[in-house]
Amino acid sequence: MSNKDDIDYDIGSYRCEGSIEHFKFRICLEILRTSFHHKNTEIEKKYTKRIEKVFHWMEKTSDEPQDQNDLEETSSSIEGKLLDSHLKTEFNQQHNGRTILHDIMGHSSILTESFKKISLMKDHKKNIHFFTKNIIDNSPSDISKLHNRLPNFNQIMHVLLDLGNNGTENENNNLVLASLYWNPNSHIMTIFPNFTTNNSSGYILPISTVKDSCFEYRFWIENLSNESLELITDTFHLLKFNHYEFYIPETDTIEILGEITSASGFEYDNLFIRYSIDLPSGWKCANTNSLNGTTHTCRRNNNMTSIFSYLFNVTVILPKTIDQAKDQHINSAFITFIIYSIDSWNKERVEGYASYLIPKFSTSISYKNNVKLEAWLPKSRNCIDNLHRYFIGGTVKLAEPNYISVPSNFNEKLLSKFGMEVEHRGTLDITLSNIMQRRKSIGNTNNNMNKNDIVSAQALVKSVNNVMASFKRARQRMLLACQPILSPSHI
Amino acid sequence: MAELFIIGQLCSAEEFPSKSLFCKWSVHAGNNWKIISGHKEGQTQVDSPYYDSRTWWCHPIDIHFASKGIQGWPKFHVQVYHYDSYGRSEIYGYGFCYVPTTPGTHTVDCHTWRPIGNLRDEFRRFFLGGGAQLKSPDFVYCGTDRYRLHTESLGKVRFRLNVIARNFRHYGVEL
Repeated sequence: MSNKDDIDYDIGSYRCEGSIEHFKFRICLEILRTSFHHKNTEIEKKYTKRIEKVFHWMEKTSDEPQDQNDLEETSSSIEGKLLDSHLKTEFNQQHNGRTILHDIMGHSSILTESFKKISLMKDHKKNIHFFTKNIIDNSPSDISKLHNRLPNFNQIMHVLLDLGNNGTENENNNLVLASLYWNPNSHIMTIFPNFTTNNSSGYILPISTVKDSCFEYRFWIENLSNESLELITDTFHLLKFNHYEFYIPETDTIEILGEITSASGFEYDNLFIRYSIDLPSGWKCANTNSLNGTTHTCRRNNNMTSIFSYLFNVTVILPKTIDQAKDQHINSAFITFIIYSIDSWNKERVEGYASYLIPKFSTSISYKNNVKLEAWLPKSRNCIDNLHRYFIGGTVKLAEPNYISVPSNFNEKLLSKFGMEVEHRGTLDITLSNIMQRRKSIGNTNNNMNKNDIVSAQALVKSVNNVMASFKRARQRMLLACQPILSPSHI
Repeated sequence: MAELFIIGQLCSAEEFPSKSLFCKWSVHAGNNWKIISGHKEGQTQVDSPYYDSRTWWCHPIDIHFASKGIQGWPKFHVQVYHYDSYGRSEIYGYGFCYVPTTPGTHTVDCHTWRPIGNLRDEFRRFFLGGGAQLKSPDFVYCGTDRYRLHTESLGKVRFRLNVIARNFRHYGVEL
């Protein structure tokens, strides 16, 4: 029988992929009662009692007291590591708030659907109210400020074993069976002691004696939500990661990481930007929703700059037959930005158009910081259009936004935009980087690896040969030096 | 498995309405990415420069990522707070930026904004401080039509990052 010293009280760290609400674990407790009067082992086993209980995350339970001396009561408590006890209840409220927010995030598709209907501008105010109410907290409480500010905000759950008689409250009777720490930001759960394996003999608590009996408590912790937790303990994660296959796509892909940084120099304030990415025929995108989007509306600062710092990323799948040498001049993907302004009367104006050609092949300088795009707007010579724009919004627009570069229905040889007058309206700053990943070619990767291996093997042989040669030279020198001493004439 | 090392510092902040700032930062990555070592979030000290126009933090960042796919490239998320003479700390800005995708030394400017409320809220904020903040910072990632979120431009936070990539080329990724 193993005792406490034989068992490692490991800390287990797990990354939770799913929602923490689905997490559950089981604790089995075995109580062994030994009477001092009987030394026969058969009699000892007679008093074994086994209790099992399944716990959910943050489930606060307490079992009814069992019969005297074999009493077992489990309960869980919640407390914030970084908060002291008097903030406990407020923290719980915050937790509830987060749960509600989570629900709303789940309905984001419905929101998105509704927002796409731009024609419903009459509901604009109502929607704004609904949208901002769920996202912005206009008068955040002190606890929410603290919660948002402090990193490493762990939620802690303890499973206690109460050994008290008849439910009497005494802290000495409480033994902590397990402590679980959950970080909602990093989605990492730490459990002490770690989950027991199938064949484990369990953990043993210090033995207690009551009257003439000796009680031994042995417990097991089992994870009942195996799929959601993934082992990342310090000792094992490297081994684990080695098993991960790096995803190599069937065809070449380009990962475009973009950031709409800022816009400056435009006529009106409160700007927002719609972007859309046009792909040439044959190119595909895994998630077509990511091909377009809208930033938030931003008021400019003292430097007359509106800051968005809006990130987007698009995964573009290239056609299989693309050939770098031949298809150098075919159309590449381009990104179109339309800058809008919205005023206090909810009048929307187009402030400018800008576009950027996304390079087809990534280079060593594919990370482009602060790309400045000059935005322009079609100019109208009609005075009424200007008055229209000034008083009731709206303006001369492009019939098709892709006219910024090459129109989609254009099939002729020569593209002429003569006759369209435009004027410069402002500057848009973006950061773009694209990462290209070549398609799966097993030969290539293996060859690379083999080449490395060969090179290293050759280097090893060469260095061994060098050592052998120098050893031979040294041995010869030693023999030469010893020759006069060993010669018979010298003796 | 490919690996990415991000070593650098959260240098400074500038162009904010007032000094005495501190910053909470975190790094977010997709499901393909796991942190092997290093902290994924942190909080700087409060820096209150008297003469310098910049607020300096020089907060170290050292993260070691393991990756099994380029999707979900890591990005930094910063929240700048103002710590005033009454001991109150109020949000000054949220900002986001991608970790540079090419190895080498990079200076990355992360521009920030903050949500604004109606006229009454702004009036109150001007005199009493405080003001609107996001209910959960995670919200900045949601929604394609975010134009209903009204914000105000603020300053920028400067990162100085050294990026080291390992084994990406073996899997056909050209960085």
